Amino acid sequence: MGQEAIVYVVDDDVEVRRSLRWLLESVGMTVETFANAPEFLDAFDSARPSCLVLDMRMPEMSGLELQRELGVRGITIPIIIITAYGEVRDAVEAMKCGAVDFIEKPFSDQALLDQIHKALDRDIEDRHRHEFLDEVCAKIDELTPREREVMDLVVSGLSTKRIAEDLGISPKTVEAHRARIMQKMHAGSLADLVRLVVSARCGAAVA
Amino acid sequence: MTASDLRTLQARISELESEVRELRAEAVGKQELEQSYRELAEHSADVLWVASVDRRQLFYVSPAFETIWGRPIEDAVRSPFAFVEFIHPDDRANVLGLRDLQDVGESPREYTHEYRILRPDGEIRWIWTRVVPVVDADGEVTRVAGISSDITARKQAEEGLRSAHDDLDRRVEQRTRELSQTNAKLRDSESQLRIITDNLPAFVSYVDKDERYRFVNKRYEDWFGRPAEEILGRHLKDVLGSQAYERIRDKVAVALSGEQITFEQSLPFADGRTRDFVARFVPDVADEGVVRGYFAMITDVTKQKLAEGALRETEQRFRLISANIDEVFWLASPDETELYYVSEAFERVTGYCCDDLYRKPMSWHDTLHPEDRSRLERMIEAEPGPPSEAIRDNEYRLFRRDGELRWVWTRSRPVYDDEGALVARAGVAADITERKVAELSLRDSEQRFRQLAENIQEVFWITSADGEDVIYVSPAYERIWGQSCESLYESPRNWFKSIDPEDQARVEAAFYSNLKPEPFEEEYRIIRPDGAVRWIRDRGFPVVDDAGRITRVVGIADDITDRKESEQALRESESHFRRLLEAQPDSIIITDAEGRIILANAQTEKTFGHTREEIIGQPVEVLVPQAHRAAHVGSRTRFVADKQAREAGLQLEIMGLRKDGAEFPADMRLSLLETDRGLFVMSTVRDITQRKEAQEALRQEKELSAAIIKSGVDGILAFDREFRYSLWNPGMEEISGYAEDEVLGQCAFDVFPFLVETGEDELFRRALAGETFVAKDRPYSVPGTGKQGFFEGSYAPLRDEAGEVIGGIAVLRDTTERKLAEEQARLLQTDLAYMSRLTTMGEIASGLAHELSQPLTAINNYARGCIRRLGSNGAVSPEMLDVLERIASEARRTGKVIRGLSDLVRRHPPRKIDVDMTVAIDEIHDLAAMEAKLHHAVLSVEIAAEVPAAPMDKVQIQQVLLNLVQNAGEALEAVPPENRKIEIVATVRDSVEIEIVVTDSGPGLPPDELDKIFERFHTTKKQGMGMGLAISRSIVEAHGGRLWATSEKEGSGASFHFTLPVPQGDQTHGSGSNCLRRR
Repeated sequence: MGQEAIVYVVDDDVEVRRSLRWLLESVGMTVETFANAPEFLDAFDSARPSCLVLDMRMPEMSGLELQRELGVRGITIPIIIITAYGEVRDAVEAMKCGAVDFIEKPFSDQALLDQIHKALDRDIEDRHRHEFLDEVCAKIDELTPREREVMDLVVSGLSTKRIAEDLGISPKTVEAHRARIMQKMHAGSLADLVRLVVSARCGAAVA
Repeated sequence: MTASDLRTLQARISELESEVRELRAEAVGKQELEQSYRELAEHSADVLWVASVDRRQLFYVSPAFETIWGRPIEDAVRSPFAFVEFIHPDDRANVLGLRDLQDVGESPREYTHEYRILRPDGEIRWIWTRVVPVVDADGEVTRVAGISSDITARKQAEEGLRSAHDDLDRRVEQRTRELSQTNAKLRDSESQLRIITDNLPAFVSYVDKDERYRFVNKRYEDWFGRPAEEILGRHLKDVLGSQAYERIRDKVAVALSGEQITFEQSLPFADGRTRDFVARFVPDVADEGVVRGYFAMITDVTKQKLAEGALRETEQRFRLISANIDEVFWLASPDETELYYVSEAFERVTGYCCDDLYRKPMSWHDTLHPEDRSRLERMIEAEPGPPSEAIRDNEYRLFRRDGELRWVWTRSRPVYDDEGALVARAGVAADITERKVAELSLRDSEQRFRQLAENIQEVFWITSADGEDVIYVSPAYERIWGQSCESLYESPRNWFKSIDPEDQARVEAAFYSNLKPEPFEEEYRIIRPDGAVRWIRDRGFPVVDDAGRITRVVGIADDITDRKESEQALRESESHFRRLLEAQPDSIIITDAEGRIILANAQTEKTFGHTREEIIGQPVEVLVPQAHRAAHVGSRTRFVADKQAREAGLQLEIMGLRKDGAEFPADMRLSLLETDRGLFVMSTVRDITQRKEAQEALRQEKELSAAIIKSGVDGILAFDREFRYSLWNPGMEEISGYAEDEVLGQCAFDVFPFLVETGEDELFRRALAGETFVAKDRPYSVPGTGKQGFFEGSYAPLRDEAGEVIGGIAVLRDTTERKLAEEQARLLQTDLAYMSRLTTMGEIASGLAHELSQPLTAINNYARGCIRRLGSNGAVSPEMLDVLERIASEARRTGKVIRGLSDLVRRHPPRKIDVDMTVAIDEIHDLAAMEAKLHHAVLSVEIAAEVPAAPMDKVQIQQVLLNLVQNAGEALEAVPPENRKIEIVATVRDSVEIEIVVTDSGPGLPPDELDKIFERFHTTKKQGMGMGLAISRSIVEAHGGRLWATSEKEGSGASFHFTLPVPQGDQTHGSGSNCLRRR
């Protein structure tokens, strides 16, 4: 990691932007503010852990539209919706689309700060999981096709004997593959291997 | 000098003296000749002639020929070249050969020549002739004219003079030479010599080689008017003057060079006048040939020259005469006692011979008419003294030789010579008899005209072309106008002023503005000074000159008052009759006994379609259909023939024939008119088509009204004065449920008690009182069925033929349904208005809360940020932090208050029930149409058949629709009324949502406006808060739908779309009627 987390603020009201920066920086956060969604999309740095404080109703591109656009681009940044009065329905919609939370203006600073912390933690967590999955996938990529075959059957719970029968090879050969797989996958135990493979499959499915 | 010498000299002198005497005698003779020569010239007895260009043929020779040639004129004109025979043989060739113009082929010009002629008495005469080409208008030489003068005398004089000169020269030369040799002797006898020279009829002088006078004779002294002493020794120039000296200088030089010279010269004389001289200079040559000077012998030929000049003048006059030979030209002495010339025309005019006149110039006086003669003589007597120098014109009557009386006009003028001396009187006389006769006859006719004009009854008048000058008006004017003719001459406009002002414009136009050369005529009234009014007929005839200009207007005016009055009386009586006839509502046709139409009135034209011009003179049967004509002739003939029938008159029903071929029934009455011009039949025809048609129409109307009553569209009832029903049609049966037989004859109030309970009996009473009126929305209830509702009725009294009210009639209509519908619409409107107020307030509160939450958020953030920054380092007092905390919490509290407030007026979430969209739209259709109508727009609604029911808060959705229609209507204000359309279309999209589109034909929206218009407080209108579309969007979105606008392009209108989701699975249609009952 080592990269500092950043809080993106998108709001068309200049005083709301400035006061948020003032508030967030008072607790030592790094803040970048944008008057509209396109500006934010241009400046977004996917390498850094971050979260997005987003106003719902804006000209050009609304908060919901930006959310959709992020989804299209595969950006999984956590979003906190801040809404003015009367936009509750929009906020609900936003939550459905994966926003972390929404806060009605004017809001308690503590509540906002708590949400931001929560969101940043979640982003860091996501990033760790992605890194882990990437490692697992890289290890799997290093296996030979036969080894992957053998691994899939091992993970699905078949015995060595059964695998040998299915593949038409000797049990000893299966054992040899299995040992090499464990080694390549840095798996300490069969349970470890199963966990890696399953999480890799889930991650692939999520991605 | 010797004695013999002296003797010789004396003898010579005596010789010379005798010679000088001879010469003197000769000179005197020559002077006499000169005198006769002048007389000859003055008499101008020259021959005038006209000949062909080649002179072979003489056309005219004046009588002087006879005198000069000594032959009768006939000899001269007898044959070509006859005159040649009379020419001296020596001169013939000269005259014929050299001077023949045609032979020479030269362009003709004037020339002169001299020749001799042989007279029959053997005398030879010198003739001087000047020949002049006569040129016609084209420049062609057609003739030659000539004047021939007898110059024999002159020739002889010249000859004599010349020989005298020569002789004198010779002798003088000889003597002077002798004298020079004997100077001394000469000196002695100088006085004698002077006697000689002084007596010479010439100017004699001797000039030395230095051009200084050495000798002058006595005459020379006279010439210069000074004594010889003042001349001798002086230079020529000093004596003659430089001008004269210059003229003779070269001649002097010739003489001084030794040559003799003779020349003609005009030189100034002492009295200042120029004189003509013939001079001979003879050089004085010494023995050694040295020229010492010269002798000058100068003769004055002025008189001779003058005679020649006079000749030329006369000749010019004769040339004039030859061109204008029809008039008599004459030239006479200034006192006219001596006639120099009279042209031959005199003979033609007077019949008298010219010669007689020459002989006795005054003899023509004897030919004059005695009156003119005495007038002339009186005139001459009145003018004594020197002959008049004025130009004189006269007219005389003279008796020709044959006794005929002719009118002659003469004009004479003085003739002057070069020096201004009166030398003659020239005249011209013309026969003006014809002109005179014309004048006289004119005067006669004028006289006759005047007699006529002054005796006729009519006013005869003559004016200038513009009518502003009266030249003549006959005395009848005084009688008719009652004004004097003099007053009219003085003020020509008096005539116009007398005209009745009503007629003036017309007369002015005809008489003063009419400058066309055409006759004109006006009838007008005049008002005489005594106040009497007279009618005048006035005709004008413009008189035109050769150039087409009007020079005069002559006219004749007569008094036509009597005629006018009788005309007027006649016209009035005729007009009475005609008006009577024209006013008849029947066609009146008068025919003669043969049945020809001679008169028809205006109604006839209307009835039959013919103009009067078309039928006058036609047989009356043209107005009868073909099929009836024969019968008509029969009945007409019988009517005229049958005395009894005639007296009784005749009335028939016949068929008439119109011009367009249509036939019509008519009543006809015939009556007879017996006048001095014979029998006439008057037919009175009345078109009875309308009467027949009216009968038919009445019948049809009866049938129709019966049908209407029975048809039962509306309820129709009638009642009598006792309120008993007398009519009850099927419509009434339908409304009330009572049959006709149940109510007829019954009292209305018995059958329907409600009539009395609700006061409807009053309607019956009003009708019976004679009032016709409409009663609306009256409640009714039917006994038995219990049916209740409302009706509308038109009530009227029923009257009998006398106009008495015998009952009443009412036409009723059941208006229950309409009344209900109206009530529902009213309720709906109330709902909508309430909702509209509510939603508007909620929307405003919500909008306010939204707008305020932004700054409140900022305040809170800033304050909390401060607290965090300051509180962490402990550098700030707790009170300061407390205040910041209060700022933040107050901001949050404000937010809550606002939210609470807006929650209070907040729009309730829609209470959705399934509603059929068709019903929802139908319900507000009338309101929407009304809204459209407010903007003069046409509303059309189109709902697709498959549009399902959907859950909705109907009133809210209706409000949205009405909002959109209202917006559309307002957008249409920008286009002309004929293009204003609003359209509502409802469709289903993918069976998941209903889409409703409201489209207007307005100017449309620019792309950047399409979203903005939905913002709160956004408005383009003067009125309104800009909430309508924002609220609509809120409502639609609260229903889970969308509201948006599209505009294809500017100018093609705007469309507002909204959707409502349709729940899947359950497709049941909602019941609209349930909704309607809701309150």
